[in-house]
This record gives sequence, C-alpha cells and structure tokens, in this order.
Amino acid sequence: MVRYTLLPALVFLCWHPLSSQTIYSVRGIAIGTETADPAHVSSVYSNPVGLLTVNNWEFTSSAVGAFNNAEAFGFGMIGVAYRFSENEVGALSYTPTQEFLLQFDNTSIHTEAGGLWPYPSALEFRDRFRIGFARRLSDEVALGISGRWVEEFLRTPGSGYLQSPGNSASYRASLWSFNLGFSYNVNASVKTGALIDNILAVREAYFPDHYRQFEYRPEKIVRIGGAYKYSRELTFTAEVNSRFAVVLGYEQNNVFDLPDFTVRQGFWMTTSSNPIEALSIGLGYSYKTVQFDAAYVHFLGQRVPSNGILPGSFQPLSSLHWNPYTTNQITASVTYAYRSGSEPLVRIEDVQFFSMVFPVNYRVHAMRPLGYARVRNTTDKTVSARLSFFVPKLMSMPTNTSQFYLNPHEIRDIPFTAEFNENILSVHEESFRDARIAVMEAEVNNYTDIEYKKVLILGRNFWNGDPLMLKYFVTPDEPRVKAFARKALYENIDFLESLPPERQPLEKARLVFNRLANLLSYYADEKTFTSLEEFDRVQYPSETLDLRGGDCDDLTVCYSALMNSLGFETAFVDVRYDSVDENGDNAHIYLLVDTKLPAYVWSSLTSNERKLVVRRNSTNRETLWIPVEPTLITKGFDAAWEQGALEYYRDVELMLGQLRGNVKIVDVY
Amino acid sequence: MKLRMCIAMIFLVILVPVVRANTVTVVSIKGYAEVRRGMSERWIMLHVGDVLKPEDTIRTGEDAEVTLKVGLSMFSLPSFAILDVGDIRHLGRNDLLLKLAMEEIRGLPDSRPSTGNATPTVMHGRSRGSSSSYPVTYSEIGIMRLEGARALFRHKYYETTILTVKSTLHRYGLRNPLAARRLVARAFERLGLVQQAIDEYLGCLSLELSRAEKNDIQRNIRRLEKQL
Repeated sequence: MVRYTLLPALVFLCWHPLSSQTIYSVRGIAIGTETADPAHVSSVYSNPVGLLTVNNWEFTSSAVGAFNNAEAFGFGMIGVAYRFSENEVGALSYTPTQEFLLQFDNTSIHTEAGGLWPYPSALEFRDRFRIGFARRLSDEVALGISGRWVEEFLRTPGSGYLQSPGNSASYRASLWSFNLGFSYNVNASVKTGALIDNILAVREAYFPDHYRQFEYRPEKIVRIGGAYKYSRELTFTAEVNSRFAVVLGYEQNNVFDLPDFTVRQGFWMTTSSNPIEALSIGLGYSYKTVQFDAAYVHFLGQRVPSNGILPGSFQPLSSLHWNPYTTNQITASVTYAYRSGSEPLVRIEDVQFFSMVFPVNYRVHAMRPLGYARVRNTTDKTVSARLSFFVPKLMSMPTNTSQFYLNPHEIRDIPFTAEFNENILSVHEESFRDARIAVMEAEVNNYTDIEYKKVLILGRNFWNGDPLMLKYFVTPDEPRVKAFARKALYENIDFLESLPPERQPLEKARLVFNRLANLLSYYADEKTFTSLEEFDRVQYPSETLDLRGGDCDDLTVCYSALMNSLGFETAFVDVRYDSVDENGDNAHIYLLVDTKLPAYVWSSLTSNERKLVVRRNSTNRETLWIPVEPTLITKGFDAAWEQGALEYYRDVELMLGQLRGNVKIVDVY
Repeated sequence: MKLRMCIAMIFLVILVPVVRANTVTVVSIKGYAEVRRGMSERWIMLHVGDVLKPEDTIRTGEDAEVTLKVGLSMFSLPSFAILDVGDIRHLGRNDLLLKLAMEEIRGLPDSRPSTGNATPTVMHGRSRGSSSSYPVTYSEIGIMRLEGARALFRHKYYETTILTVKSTLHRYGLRNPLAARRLVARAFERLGLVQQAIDEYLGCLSLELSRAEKNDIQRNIRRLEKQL
C-alpha cells in the first residue's frame, strides 16, 4: 500500500521539470534551521549528520514553486540514502534541472580585462550532485560530511557587441564544495550541532577572465545550532551563524490531537535594517513509512528580482541557496523509507515501548516486556519467527523472544524483553539510545526485517515515585554499606551481648540509626524536570554516606540497606496526600524494620503497643515491626521511632490509608 | 446589610459545631484517669477541660468514670477501661468490611504459639518516665480494652467496637472470649450485617460453652437466619 502511494507522489513532483532552487531541506526551511536536529536523506542539504536517522534505505523527492519567477514550479531534487552499518549512512542526491537562473537586461556592455564585453544575458547554476556521509562516533557525538558539484553557465546576447559579433556565446564553469557537520546530544531533550558550509571549495573550471566576477564564490559560513525538546510534542530550534544572523523555529507534533501531523515555523533575523529577513511555515504528515512535507518561505525585505537584473547591480553570489535573488517559494517533498531486498516474510509494522528505562531496575526488563513490535506475516503461508531486541553497549547480546507462529497475513503484537548489562548504571543523565528490533525466520535464523527506534534511558538516580521501584536502590551488599552497619554493632558488642535476645533487634536498629545520625543530615533535594516528566532523584546508599545526607527517600533507602545488610527485613511505607506540603511534595516515605520477634512480646520493647506494627514477614510469620521516620535523622532513633509510629497510626489506622489506596507498604527483602 | 449579617451569623452558629465535631474534650472525671499522648510511653493524669487528639489514649482506674464531649454528644468511659480516642468515630460499611478482610488475611494462619507460657504477665518498661500510673498487668490490658470497646458499643460506634474487639482478641488473647465475640456479633447485627453476625455466632460455637450458652447462641443464629 505504501509503495502505491509513493509512486503518484513522485510522478506529481516530477510533473513539471523546470527550474527550481532547492534552498534547504523542506523541513529545514519550515523550522528555519536544521543544524542541531536534522533528519532524513534531505539533510545532505543541511547538516549531513541527520542521515543517521535513516534506518535502511530512504528515498526522497522534492518540488519547488518559486514566486516572482517566470518558471514557477519545478522539480527540486531526488535523493537516496542507505545505512551501511550500525553507525554509518551514505546519501546521494541529484538535481536534474537548472537550479537557479538569473536573467539580465542584455543591452549593456561591461569593461573588464582591457576590453569591452557584452553583459551576460543569463547566469545559470546547477547544484547537480550531492553526496553525504554520516558516522556516529559515540552515543552522543556524530560527524557528517557532504560534498556537491556545482555547474555554472553564462550566456551572452547574440549580436551587436564587440567581442561576440553575430553569435551568442556560452561559457561553463564548475566547482566542488564541501560541508562539515557535527552533532552533540547533550541529553534527551537538548541537542546541539555545528555546520561549516563550504569548508573546502575546489574550482574545476573557470569562466573567461573577463567574466570571472560572475562566478559563484562559495563563502565559508559557520553555523552553531541548538534544539530543545520542550515536551513530547514541541521542539524549539535556534541557530547563529558567522553572518551574524539568527534563526529561530519550532516544530509541533500531534497538532489538534492528530498524531501524524506536524506544524513548523521559522524566523530568520539579521543585523540589517530589516531585522526579520524572512518567515516560514510548514506542515508535515506521515503515513506509515512515507513522510510528506511542505514549506513556504516569505521574505519581508525588498528582494532583487532574479529575472531582469539591471547591469551594474549584480552582486556576486556567495551562496546558491540563500542570496539576494532567492524569492518567496513553496516547497514540498515526499520521503519514503524502504526495506532492502525482497518483501520480508515477516515485517515489522510498528514498535512501541511501554515505558522509558530506569537503570535502577534494569533487571526487571529481562522478565517484564519493555515494549512490543507489531509484526505482519506478508505471505500466504504460516511462518515461524523470533523477535530480537538490542541496544548496543548497554546490552551484551540481543534478547530473543521464543518462537512464535503467524498465520497467513496475520498481524500480531509481540512483546520483547531486554537484558541490559551493568553499563546502564553508568548512565547519569537521560539519553536516547538507538535500539535495534529485528524479526527473523525461526527456521533459518535470517533477519527478515530490522527497525531502529530510539529508546529513552534515564539517569541512574532517576525515580518515578513508585515505591516498588525504590527498593531497587537498596543495595545491602555494597561493601561500604556492610562495613558501616557492622561497625555500628562491633563498637557496642559488649552492650549487645548483655541484652536479652528479645531486646537485641531493637537495640541494633537503634545503634545503626544513631551512628547514621552522627554522620548524616536531612535536606530536601530538587526535582528533576526532563523534557518528558518530572522525576525525583534517589541516591544509592553509598552515595548518601558519601554526601552525608539526603531527603526522605535517600535516607529511607540508606537506612533500609544498612538494616538489610544485617539480616533485617524492611518495608517502605509510601504515603500519598491529597494536598502538597510546604516543600511542594504530596508524598512521603518512611520505613518499617522487622524485629523478627513474635507479636505477643511487644511489651518487652515498649509500653505503648501502638509504637509497633504487627505484620507478616517473608517467612509468613506475624512479627513486630518498628516504624522509623528517617528524616528525623539528627534527633536520634527514639524521636524517629516515635514520629514513625505516629505517622503510621495516622496514615494507616486513622485515615485508613491502605484501604483507600493512599498508603502502600512495600517489602524490601 | 443587616439581613446579610444575620445570614452570616446563622451560618456561623450552624457551622461552628460541625467544624468542631471531631474535637474531644474532657467534661468530667470521677476517680482516677490518665491519658497517654500520641506515641509517648508516659501516662499522665487526665484533667477536666483537656482536649484530646485522635492519637491519644485514655484509661480509667477502678471505680472511675470519664465523660467526654465528642462534637455535640457525650461519651462516657466506665471504670477499668482503655480507649483510643481515635476509635470514637464511625466508619463506612465498605471501609469496615475491607478492614476486616485485611485483618482476616493478616490473621491466617494464626501465628500465635499454641502454648500460652510465652505470654508475658507484666508490662516491661511501664515505669519508664511514668509518674502517676498504677500497675497494670498484660492480661489486664486486654480486659480494659474490651471494656473500652463496650463503651464504644453503648455509644453506637459499632464499627470501631468490632475492630477494637477483634484486634484485642488477636493481640492479647483471652481465656474466655465468648463475651467479646458476642459483642462483635451484636455490633454486626446493629449494622445490618446479618451474615457477618451469624458467622461470628457460628465461631462462638467452636468455643467451650455451657449448654445454656450453646442454646442461646443457636437461638440467635436461627433468629438471624430468618432475616436473611
């Protein structure tokens, strides 16, 4: 179906193959700049690192309608890109028609090189070929280079002039010029890029000396750009360049709740008397693997007409794409991502992730699906297949699903898991990583289709507020944690041994807490706002010991790990309030520590039975648990116990928090 | 203007008792009574005019009686009773049933030891910081709490009566829990939870009962079954 929609679009764009000026990629025109956030094969016209968004094969074709130009609508370019390897993509584009035509009033002469020569009647430029190559150097850094071959033609009028009596003359020149681009993804929401236009220009052929002033003189321009993904839907772009121009733009997806539509807008500003040089607006629409884009750019200042330039007013061109003769224009393109080889037996139609990846609980993704791939059997027979998922560096090897069977033409969602390795714990900030999802015929183990999709990996300390996830921050086996807890007991071994057995658990909890109290203090931490959501950050226990403090979740995790390292079970009490407190929080967490003592011995620990909670532990025995409020770390164990018990009584008994879902108690074994 | 003032005053008169409905104040004390504030381990003497918080606990000595003002109504706590102030409240039927279900889950299987010799008979640490309290044995606490539950029943706080009795039986155990279980059954009955009342009476039949007690229980079961 997709390919049947592609063909008419391509035919439409090729319908009137006349002169047209491809000033940029269509998306790039619409948002003003693609320096930091380029995409698709057409990024050979902007920052070639955008080629790395190509999955396999990608084709594009564009058309341009230039206003104030006699030849109003014409073919733009056709391009193709191919991914050679995981980190390398190449591209080639071709512009079959004349790229840019300037016409002159041809009744004049001009003096040059000691003679009188007819003024040119027309100058034509053809940006014939572009080649591009992009390579990913690391997860964050990519490098791209593009080169183009430009042909220039100069025509003189046919008669009445001294050096060209009777006949018109035509001259040809050509050159190669190269662009160099970089990109650096700061995090999942911020990208930066740099582009040096015409970093190298090599002239191949020249006009005669007396027409050299009409040659194209590519100017070296340095562009620095940034893109900020404000939300899942909205991205802002900006660029400054060595011409002291500033370009701003934005791109909004999911417009009017239509997930396939995109709206873009751009502003070009200069330091000249007319600060806003041009405005642009564009639309995008994607249908499966076909992307349609359109853009319109409007120049606010006076433009030099590209047809009928007065002699003497000609300004040599330093850019073929953005010069005083560039006119208002509308551009459109269609881009199609194509699979190599023959039609796969099983095709991946879509890939969706159930969630972003929190490094802290990365192990759960080995069992709990991270996402699913919608696969289709394209044949008339039953096919057995497997699906694999792989994120380079963060996984040692791909995870494969078990074999599944698809009936003829059946479409099914196949969940996949991910076995991340410990490298994921070195991810400190959120970042998008390329994930490879492949489907293979189970019988022959050949990949039939591969899809690349970005997966969001959050920082190692990120926490989504779910107490079930918080327990993964508890690391009782860390040597630092073990040593701290054991030292608290060894320093008081005589005291502990003098106690009756039923008092020892409480005193151990007290000794560890009070040793912690001498070291730590409570401070509220800042929420982390990412492009997508608001997250809390939680310190691992060793980090809390190093930093000598933390907020309620940090201290709860730290104390829990210390008690766990001594063999005590613990449980988090997670409380959600209807309103926010003075710190802006509407949630709180504290801890229960299992004494392992049976419920009926409560009076050996306290005279107030409500200071102890009776609940089952992992051995299914009802035991006494001590509620502890770790934020009172500086006040010592007794105050923390009393406050914890009071909070538990209010939250669970009086407010019936567990019944109403405001309180969750999560065991940490 | 005067009309507005009048309306505002009327609202004020109506709203003030509503807003203060949860306030519990000690109105009178006969004999000896103590209060334990929040999670403190200290019992201190209770005085007339004291305002009690939901997390406070009061207890009365022998021949004592405390009268509390709870919102607009009065609550009388008899002698030799312990009462958590937070229990002087009504719960929704769903909340009660959910809470009971949770308790039931927690209570199965019973983890208490089969022999009672591990149950302490005195309260260790009782005297810590305590200045005015009188000695109370471990088993007496259970009896005093049941007396508090009876006071709740008399004042029609049936939901918390049930919860208090059940938690007291669970935590303290009683040599003869029949009276306590009958109290629970009657509270269920008053709440219209007939099946739960029948179940409670059926549970009583598993206890060691005299013939008269057994007949009385069975008579209650038959009476309730007719209501189903």
